[in-house]
Amino acid sequence: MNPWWLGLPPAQTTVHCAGRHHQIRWDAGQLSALDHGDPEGERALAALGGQRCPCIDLLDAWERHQDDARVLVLATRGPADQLAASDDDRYPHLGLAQPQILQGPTFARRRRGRGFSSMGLQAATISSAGWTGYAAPGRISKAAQAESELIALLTLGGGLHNRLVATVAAAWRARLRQPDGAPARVRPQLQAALYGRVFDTIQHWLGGPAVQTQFRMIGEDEEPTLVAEDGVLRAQLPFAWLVDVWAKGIATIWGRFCLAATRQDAQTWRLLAVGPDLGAPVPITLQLAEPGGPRDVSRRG
Amino acid sequence: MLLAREHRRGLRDAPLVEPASALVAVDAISATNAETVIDDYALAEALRTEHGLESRRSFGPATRRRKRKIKPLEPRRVVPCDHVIGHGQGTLEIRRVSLAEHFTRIAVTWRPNTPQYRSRRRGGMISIGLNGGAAGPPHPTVVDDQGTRSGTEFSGGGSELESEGRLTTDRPLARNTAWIEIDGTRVELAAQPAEWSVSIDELPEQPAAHAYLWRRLAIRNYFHELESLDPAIEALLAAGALEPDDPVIDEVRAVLEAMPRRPGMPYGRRAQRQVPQPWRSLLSRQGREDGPEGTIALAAVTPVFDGFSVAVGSVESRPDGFQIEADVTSGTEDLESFGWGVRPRQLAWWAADDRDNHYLGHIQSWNGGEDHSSCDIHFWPPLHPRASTLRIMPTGEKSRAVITVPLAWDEERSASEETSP
Repeated sequence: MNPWWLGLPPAQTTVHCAGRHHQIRWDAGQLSALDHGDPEGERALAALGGQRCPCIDLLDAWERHQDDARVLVLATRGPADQLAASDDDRYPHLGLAQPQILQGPTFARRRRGRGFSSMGLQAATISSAGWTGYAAPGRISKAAQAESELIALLTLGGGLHNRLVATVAAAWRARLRQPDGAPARVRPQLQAALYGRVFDTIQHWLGGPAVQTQFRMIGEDEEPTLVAEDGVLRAQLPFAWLVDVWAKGIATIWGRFCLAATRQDAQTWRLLAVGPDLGAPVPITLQLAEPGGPRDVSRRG
Repeated sequence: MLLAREHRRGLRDAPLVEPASALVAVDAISATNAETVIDDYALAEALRTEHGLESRRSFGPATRRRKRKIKPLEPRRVVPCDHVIGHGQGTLEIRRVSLAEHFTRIAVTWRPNTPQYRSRRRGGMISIGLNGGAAGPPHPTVVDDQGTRSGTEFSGGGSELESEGRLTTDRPLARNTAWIEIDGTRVELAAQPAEWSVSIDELPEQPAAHAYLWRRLAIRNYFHELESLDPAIEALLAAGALEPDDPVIDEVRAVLEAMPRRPGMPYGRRAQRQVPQPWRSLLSRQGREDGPEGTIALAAVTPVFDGFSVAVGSVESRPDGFQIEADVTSGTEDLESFGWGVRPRQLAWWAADDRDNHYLGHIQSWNGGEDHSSCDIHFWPPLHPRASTLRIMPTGEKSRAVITVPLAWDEERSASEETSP
């Protein structure tokens, strides 16, 4: 496996699970439920009729959507493109990381059949105004279930939603390297995902009125460029830009637009960046010195 | 588009629909893929809009269209009347009675005795679904010759001086009844509907992009303004379905500029270039108010064409236009009467007279059911005063029905007779 996550810091958020605050953590490409020592055992118990829990449901949803191209077109394009639904207090029905949500018969005020499940929760309830996302598994369509999961994942706090975008982008980058790896129906989604984030980055990098931009998605073996011609910004970048540059938060650096980032070793990247004058790209070397020294990536690779 | 927040519209008004439907029309993209893209966009919008997810949940994501077998409509019995009933608060003119298997509708005009204030112009819409009240139309009880008794509901609109609409019974009356009594006043149903004939014509072949643009211009409604065809044109150019120098591009733009922004609104400026028929005829007479006045009742039904069957119950002409009362299969799911879908299943309502004048109709009011929808179609410009035959042409993508009706106005009708209960 290509260690695409190198350079990305861990991300963590709180999920209210079984009446307690539990931690979900992403680190080095893996999502884990820190308060559940045996997720497989809990899944087996749930399959036998035991109670499911939001932490495990979240892990399962992540697994199901880690190559879902819809994540790329639905998720935020950047800091200026915030999802309204990411305000936890405003969308308690999504069922995750909501301080008001508790489980258990004491607080139960169930409302069935509203269409959105909440990660397949058996009995998520809400103690204040609003309604829960409760729906028994199997009571809603697969499409509605998938959409409900997507919404919950995309509105996770702690930077987890951006890690999901990075995960999905890395999956599709790998497929694009294979002949016929990306079916024709997905390519427009990938192109839109890349263009939207490039456009958003350029707009905020250059500021001022909207700039007319023409964009072309190129292969990884082609040269990325950003030039101005006849008053039009012409960008050509590979889909890999999303993984190597945007997901790592280095789309702009030192006032420059980053065209590419190539890993030299576990802690060193060589960037190719262009200034606002859109002159010749300049190389930048970026070194990440972690407190514990270089990490051994071979175990994960 | 997601990032251009100032351009955001309602969830049901996605700006992708116009270019997507153009691309689907020329087979550049499948309807399923187009609907998927639009649905993704709608969800992305909902995620970025306050209460957007709640709205999406209320409306639900896009649903796939089901194919259904279309059966021809059963003809209704339509009886022209000219009966005025005195009422304590005004007069109720009975214009015609439509008796169908599942409903009975009575076309009426209500004129209250003492309007409280005057409307600025005749015909201004003031109300829908009036149900009695001090100045509103009555909702009389109706009885047929077999003893079926039913209450009625009024729906329609008008001014303080006059309201036009229909009384719909709570239950259908006998289709073969010889008379009805309205609050005790008997109305004989002896008159016969007008003669009519129907044929089905295949539409001439033309490039798919041209057909789409002309059809898009023809199918308009009161609820969505068609501001521009440019998103569709740009999509068709990008797909190679149109050439940049295609003269049709300028022609459709000229027609759009000259047409009212939406039905019922003022006309646009005169077309700056010659446009082809039937648009030339349409635009040359727009704005006139010389149409004849009268109503023709008929019970015309078409066979199935292009997946539709149409029944026309009446033609009612006024100086500023004319209107037909129609039923259309299939039902609400496929009609998309209030919007423009990726693969719209809608009819263009054309008409022509024996003097080579053309008319275009738009849905003015509509109610839908599982199997069929009932609608009033308003046509413009007004009928030519010397036209003697009208061809009503509900037009699909491949073919159209032609319902031919002789225009014999009030001469065949008896003089009005006012009675009191």
